[in-house]
Amino acid sequence: MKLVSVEVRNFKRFTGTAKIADLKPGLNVLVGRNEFGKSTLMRAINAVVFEKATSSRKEVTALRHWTNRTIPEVTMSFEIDGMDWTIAKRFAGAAGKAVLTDAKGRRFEGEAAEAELKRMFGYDPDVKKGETDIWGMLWVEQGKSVDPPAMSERARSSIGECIESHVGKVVGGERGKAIRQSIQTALSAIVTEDRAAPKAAYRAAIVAKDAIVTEIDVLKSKRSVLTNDIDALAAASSERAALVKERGEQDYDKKITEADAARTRALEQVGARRELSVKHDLAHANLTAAETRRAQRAALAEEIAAETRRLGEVSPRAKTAHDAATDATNALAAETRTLTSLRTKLTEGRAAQDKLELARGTVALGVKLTALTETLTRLNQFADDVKNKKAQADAIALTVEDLEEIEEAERGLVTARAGKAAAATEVSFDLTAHGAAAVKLDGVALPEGISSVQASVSSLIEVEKVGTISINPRIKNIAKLEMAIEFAEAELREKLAGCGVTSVTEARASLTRKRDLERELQGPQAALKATLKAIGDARLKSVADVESEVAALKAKLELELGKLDNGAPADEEALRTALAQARDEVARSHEAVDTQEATVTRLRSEEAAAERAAAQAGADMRAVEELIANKQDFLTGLVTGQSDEDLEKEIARLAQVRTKAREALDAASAEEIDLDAHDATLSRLRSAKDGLTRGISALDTRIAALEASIAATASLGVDEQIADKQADSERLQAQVRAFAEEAEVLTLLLQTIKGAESEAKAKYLEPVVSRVQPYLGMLIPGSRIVMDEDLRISGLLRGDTEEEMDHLSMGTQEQIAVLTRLALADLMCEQKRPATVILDDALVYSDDDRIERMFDILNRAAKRTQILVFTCRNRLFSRLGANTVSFVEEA
Amino acid sequence: MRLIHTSDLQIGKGYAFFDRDTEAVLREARQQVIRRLGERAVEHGVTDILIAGDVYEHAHVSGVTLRKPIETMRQFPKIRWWLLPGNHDPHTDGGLWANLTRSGLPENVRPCLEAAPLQIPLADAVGYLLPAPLRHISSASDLSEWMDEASTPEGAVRIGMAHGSITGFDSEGDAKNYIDPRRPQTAGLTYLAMGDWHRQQKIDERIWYSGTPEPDRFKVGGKASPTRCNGGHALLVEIDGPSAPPRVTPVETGQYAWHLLERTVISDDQIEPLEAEMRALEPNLGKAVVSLRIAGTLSLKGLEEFSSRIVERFGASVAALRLERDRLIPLPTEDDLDAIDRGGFIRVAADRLRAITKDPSDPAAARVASLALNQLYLEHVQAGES
Repeated sequence: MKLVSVEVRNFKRFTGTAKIADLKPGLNVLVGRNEFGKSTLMRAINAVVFEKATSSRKEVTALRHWTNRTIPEVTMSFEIDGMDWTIAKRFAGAAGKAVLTDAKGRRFEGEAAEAELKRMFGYDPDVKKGETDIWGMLWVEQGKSVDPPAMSERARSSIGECIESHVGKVVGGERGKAIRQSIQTALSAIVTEDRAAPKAAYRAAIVAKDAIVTEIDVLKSKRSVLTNDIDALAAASSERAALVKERGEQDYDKKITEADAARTRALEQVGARRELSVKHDLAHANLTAAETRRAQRAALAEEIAAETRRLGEVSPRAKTAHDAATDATNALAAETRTLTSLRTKLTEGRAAQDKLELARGTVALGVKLTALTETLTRLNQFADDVKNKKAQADAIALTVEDLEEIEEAERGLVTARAGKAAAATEVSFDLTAHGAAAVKLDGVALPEGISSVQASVSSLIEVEKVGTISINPRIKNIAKLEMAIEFAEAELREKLAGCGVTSVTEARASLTRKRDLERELQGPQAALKATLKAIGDARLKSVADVESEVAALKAKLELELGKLDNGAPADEEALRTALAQARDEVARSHEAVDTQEATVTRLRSEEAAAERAAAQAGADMRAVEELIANKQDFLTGLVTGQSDEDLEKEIARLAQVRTKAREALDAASAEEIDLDAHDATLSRLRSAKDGLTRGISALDTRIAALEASIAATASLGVDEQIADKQADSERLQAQVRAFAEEAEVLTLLLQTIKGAESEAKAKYLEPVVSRVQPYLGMLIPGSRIVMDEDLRISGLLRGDTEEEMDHLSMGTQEQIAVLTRLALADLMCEQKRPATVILDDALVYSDDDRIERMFDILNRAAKRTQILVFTCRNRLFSRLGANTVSFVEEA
Repeated sequence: MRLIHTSDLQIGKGYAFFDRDTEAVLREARQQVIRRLGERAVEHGVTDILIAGDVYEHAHVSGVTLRKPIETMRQFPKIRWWLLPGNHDPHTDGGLWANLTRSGLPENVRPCLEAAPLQIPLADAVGYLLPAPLRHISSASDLSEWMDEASTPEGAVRIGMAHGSITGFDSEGDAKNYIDPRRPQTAGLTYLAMGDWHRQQKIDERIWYSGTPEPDRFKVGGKASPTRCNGGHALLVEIDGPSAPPRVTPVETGQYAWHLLERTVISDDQIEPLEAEMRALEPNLGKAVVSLRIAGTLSLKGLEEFSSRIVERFGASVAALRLERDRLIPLPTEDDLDAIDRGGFIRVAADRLRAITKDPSDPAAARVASLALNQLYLEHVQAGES
C-alpha cells in the first residue's frame, strides 16, 4: 500500500483546503513547525479510513472546524496491489457521504464505499468503534512513539495471520492459554505446585482412608474380644454343667455325715485311752520321785566321804605353801640389806672420785696460766718493738708526695739554669797544662781538664804574664733568665724548709729511712699475730685480751685452790693415779649394786609367787571344809524328814500302783485307732464338695461377667460397623485412586501442553524477531530483542545479559519500538497487506549518533514499506534523505 | 395349610460399590421387605412365614439393625414369623439370638434355636416345624439329620427348615453346610424350606430355595431375563396334607429390580442403541438398580456422548447405576484432535499424547495418555460451552 495524497477541508484547525500531494513510495518527510497541523493531518488519514462518514459519534463530530463548526471533508488517494484508489468522505453525521473510486472507474458510495474500504484495509466491521486495528500500531501518534507496539486482539490476529503464513499455526491463542490455565487450576486443586503432594480433597481422602483403617483395626480388636468372650462363655457354661452333674452324682452330703460319725466314735476311744495313760504316767512319776530321793541320799553320803578324803590331801599342801612363803620373805630381807650396804659404798666411791677430779682440774689450770703468762711476756716484747719502730717512722714527716714536689722544684731550677746557660757565651780553652795554670777566670784558676766555660755575665780572664781578657756577653734577656733562676731557687728552698730538710739529698735519705722503718715494723707485727693465733683461743685477738685472760685464770685458780683439802696431792701424776683407782672402785661398786638389785628383784617375785600359792592352798582347804559342812547339813535334813526305812516302804508301794496302771493301759491300747485317717476322709469329702460349690459359683460369676461384657459389646454391632467401615474404606480407596489418576493425567497433560506451548512460542516469534534483527544490528550491534508471545518487547539481550525494557533509556526504548513497527510492517508487506508506517514527531529522545543510525534504518525499511515521517525539526531531518513533502494550504 | 417361605434377608448388608446415599436407600429396602412379606402373607391368607436362615447379615449388629425387623414383625400380630439362624447369624452363646431372646420378643416372633420339633398351631391341621439352626458359620455334619428321628404326633405335617447347600448341587451359598436331598423322604417331611441361595430354586417337589426377597448382588439368575439378577421373590407354599406334594408359587417381594449388563462397544454408533436397551430394562426405571460393565473403544467425541447419554441422563433415571468402565479405552480420532484444535500448541500436545496412546510398549502410560487426551477434549468441550 502507498499513500499518494491527502486533502482536508474544514478539518479541525484547517480552514479551507490543505493538502499534501507529492507522497512517494519510500521514505517521505513532512516538516512543519509546532501547531502546524501534522497531528491533525494524521487524524484525518485515520478518520477517512476508519470512521464512517455518517457517524455521529463524539469523536467524529469533534473533527469539525474548531471555530465555525463547518462540515469536515477528507480525500485520500492511495494505491493497493497496483490499483489507485481515492476515498472522499464528508463527515456530516447522518448526511455524511463516502465515495470510493478506483483507476478503473469503479465507484462505491455510502455503505458500499465503507465496506469496500474496510475490506481493503483488513478492517473488521465488527470491531469496536474507534479501534484502529493494525494501523493503530503502525501509525504512531505524537508522544506515543516510546510506547512499545501494544496491540489489540484484532491487531495481534492480523500479525498472527501474517506470522502463521510463514510458520503455520503454532500457537493456541487465548483459548489455548485458557485450556492450559484450566488444567493447571484443576491440578493445583488436588496437588501442591512445588512438590506435587496431595492436598485439599485428595489429601483429605488419604487421611480419611488411613484413619478408617485404624478404626477398623479397633473394631476388629473389639470383635476379637467379643469372639473370645463368646467362646469363653460357651466353655464356662459347658464346664458349669459338668460340675453340676458331678455334684449330683457324688452325693457328698451323705458321705460326709457317715465319715463324721465314724470319726466321733474314734475320738471317744482315744479319750478313754488317754485317761489310763495319764494314770499310769502319774504312778510312774511318783515311784520315780521316791527312787530319786533314795538315790539322792546315797549320793550325798558318797560325796561327803569323797570331800573328806580330798580335805586330807589339801591340808598338808596348804601348810607347805605357807612355809615356803615365809622363807622367801626372809631371804628377800637379807638380800635387801646387802643391797643397801653396796649402794652406800658406791656413793662414797663417787664422792672420792669427784674430789680427785677437782684437784686435777686445778693443777691443769695452773699449767695453763703459766704458759699463757709466758706468751703474754713475748707478746709485750713484740708490741714494744712495733711501737718503737712505728714511732721512728712516724717522726719522719716527709712523704712521697713531698719528695715529688721537692724534686719538681729542683727540676724547675735546673731548667732555669739551663736556659741561662744556653744563652751564655761559650769560652773555649785549648791550653797546655802550663798554659792552663797560667790562666784565671774571674780570678780563679781554671779547673783541670776544663775546655770551655759559659759566660753569661762579664768575665775576666787573666793570663799570667800576659794580661787579662775581658769577656762581656751581650745576652738580651739575661735579667728575665736570672729572675727565673731566683724564683726556682726560692721555691726549692721553700719546699725543703716545709719538709724540715735542707737539701734534696737529705729529703731523699729521710724518705728512704722511713720506708726501711716501715718494713722493719712488719716483723714484730707478724710475730705478734702468730703468737696470738698460737694460743689457740679465738676469743684472744689482742694483747689486752690475753692480759684479761691471764687475770681471769689467776682469779679462777685462786678460787679452785680454796676448795681443795689440804690432803690432796699437788702432784699431777699422783693425782692421775689416785683418780684412776677411784674410778675403778666406783665401777666395781656399781656392778655389785646392779647384781644385788637383780637378786632382790628375783627374790621379790619368788616371794609373791610363794604368797599366792600359800593363799590358794589355804582357800582350797577352806572350800572343801565348807562343802563338807553343807552337804552334811543337807543330808541331816533329809534323814530328819523321812527315815531311810520309811522311804524304802513307800517305794515298794508306788511300784505296785504303777504295775496296775500299766496293765490297764495295755488292755485299752490293744485296738489301733487312726484318727488322722478319719480326718483325711472327712476333709477330702468336704473339700471336694466345697470345691464343686466354689467352682460352680466362680463359673456363675464368670458367666455373668462374660454375658455382661458380651451384651455391652454386642450392642455395638461390631460386625456391622466393620462392614460399614470397610465399605467406606473401599470408597475412599477408590477415591484416592481416582485422585491419583487424575493428578497423573493432569500432570502429563499440563507438561505436554507446556512443552508444546514453549516450543510454539519460540517458533511463532521467530518471523518477527528475524525481521527486527537486521535493524537492531544497525542500531545496537550484537544485541537481540526478547519478545513475549503477545509480540510485546520484554527486553534486550546483550551477550548473555537480558535488560528489561523498562530499564533501558527512553531513547533506546523509542528506537526499539520504531524498529519493531518497521519489522511488523515488513511482515505485512510480504503478505501483500497494506502497511504504511506513519511516525509523528518520533525519535525525539535520540542522540546524534543514534538518530543517524535510525535514519539509515528508516531508509532501509523504506525500500519495502512506505514511511511517512512528520517532524518539526527541519534541519535535523534534512539529513534523513527523504522525499520532502509540502503541505499546501488554501484559504 | 399355607406358608410363606423366604430366606436370606441379610438385614444390615452394605454396598461398598455404591455411594453412601445409595447404600442407605438399598439398606432401607432390605428392612422394608419384612413389611412386604407381611403384606403378601395377609394377601394370601397365610399365618406363618418361614425365614430359612440369614435374617441378619452379621453375627453382631447394632441394636437398631437388630430390633427394627422384629418391630416390623410385631406390626403383623396375626402372622407367626419363624426365624432360623443361618451361617451369617448363627446361634451362639451370647450371640444375637441370645440377645434377642433375653431382651424379649413379641409372641408372634419365634426364633428356632434348637434342633427340636416346634408345633405350628394351625386350626386346620397339625403341623410341626423341624428346624436345623446353625450354631457356627459352617458345619461339617448334616444338621437336618436329626429330623429323621424327630418324634411328632401321627399324621402331623412335618415341615423341615434348613440353611445350606443341597448335596450334589453346585453351591451358591456362602458356606458348605450340606443337606441331604433325601431328607424329605428319610424324615417324612412334607416340605423342606431351604435358605442360603439367593436365587429361587426348586430342588424337587418338596425342596425349594426361596431366594432372597430383595436383590442384593449383580448376579444374573434365571432365564426370564438376560439381565435381571437374583432375588426379589418369596414362595407361597400350600400344603394339603402330610404326604401330598405342596403347591409352591413365587410371590414378588422385591422393591428394586437389579440388572447387570456386560457390553463391548467399538463404535460411537453403539451408544444410542445401548441407551435404548438400558431404558427398556424396566417399565419403571426408578426401581432399577443397574450395573454396566462396558469395554471397548470410543472416540473422544463418543466418550463424551457416552458420558452424556449413559452416565448423566440414564444414571439420573434409575435408582442406582454402577458403572465399570476401566476397560473402555478412549481412541481419539483425527476429528477429535481437530475438534480440540486444528493447530497451535494445544494441537501439538494432543498429537503427542496420541502418539503415547499408540505405543504398545507401555500400556500404563498409554492409558494415562488416553485419559489425558480425553481430559483435553473435555476441556475443549467446556471451553466451547463457555
